[in-house]
Amino acid sequence: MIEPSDRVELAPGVVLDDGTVIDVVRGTSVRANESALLMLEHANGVTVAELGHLLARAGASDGAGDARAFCAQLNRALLVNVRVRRGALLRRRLAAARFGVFARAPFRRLDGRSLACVLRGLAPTGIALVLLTLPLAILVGAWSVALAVGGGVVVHELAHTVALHGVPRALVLDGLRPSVLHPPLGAVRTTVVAAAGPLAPSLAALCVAAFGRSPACAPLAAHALGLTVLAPDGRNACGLS
Amino acid sequence: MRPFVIAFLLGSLAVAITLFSAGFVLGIVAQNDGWSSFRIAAGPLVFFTFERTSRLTSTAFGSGLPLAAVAGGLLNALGAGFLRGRRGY
Repeated sequence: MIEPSDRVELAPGVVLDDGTVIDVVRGTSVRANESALLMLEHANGVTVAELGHLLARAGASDGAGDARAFCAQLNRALLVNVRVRRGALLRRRLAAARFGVFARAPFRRLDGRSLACVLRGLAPTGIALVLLTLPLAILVGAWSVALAVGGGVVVHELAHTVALHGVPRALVLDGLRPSVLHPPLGAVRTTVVAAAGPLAPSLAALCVAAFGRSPACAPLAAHALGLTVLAPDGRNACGLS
Repeated sequence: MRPFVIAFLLGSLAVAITLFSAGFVLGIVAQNDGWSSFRIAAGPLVFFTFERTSRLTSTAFGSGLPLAAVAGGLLNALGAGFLRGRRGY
């Protein structure tokens, strides 16, 4: 769901060097073709429409359409971030919903070099989850459950980040689903990193249950299911991904 | 062998944490809402017991819980084996 007015910029940890796209976080480098290079060289906050003009000047028959398709592809590959104006995303979602279509927000890749950066990136997601679950939590008379839903997701991703100490990493937001991007690791480290995420809120759940005697432990404990092969973290921990 | 052992351990841990937390929540709800004594069991295997006396309430986990955790671990290891076979590792 990318529109001409959206702004495009290189994702943190992605650099261009002599015609090669280098992803510092994933530890990969790919030789880019001329069109991709043209787009990525100018992806510094320009709009998709401006990139379309650039492509048209370079000989593309449908510069605007190509720019949109290209930006969507590069965004899916987590190489560029697409900034949508405040409020525009909601308008687009409402417009798409009238046709029974769920419009996805573009992926956002954020700097994850320090815990503070990750915490700052996760805060809006955590707050949104708290606000979404708060009415239901108040209805059942346990407002702390809403806090545990938002807090649990933040603790989960922070635990992955801590386990990735010393490894290049980036936070990726897919709507309200955060994840941590990192290069391939050894078998033991992969297991530790994958298990750390679900384990941290699960252990917090036991502490909340034992010492706080609060039903807030339920959403935290649900993270334990992430240790099983039903969830991506569990499959990663077992080396099945 | 390694993926199965990890899957077994993580599966057991996941089931244990989930059941412990569920038991705690049940105990809290039972205490706050004034439920009378009850227990959750499958035959001789007791998972959870809530007791209310005139002076206090108590929540206890039975021997069924570790067994359920082991069963969860086995199930997770089987799932890992299934996925491994399907993906041709």
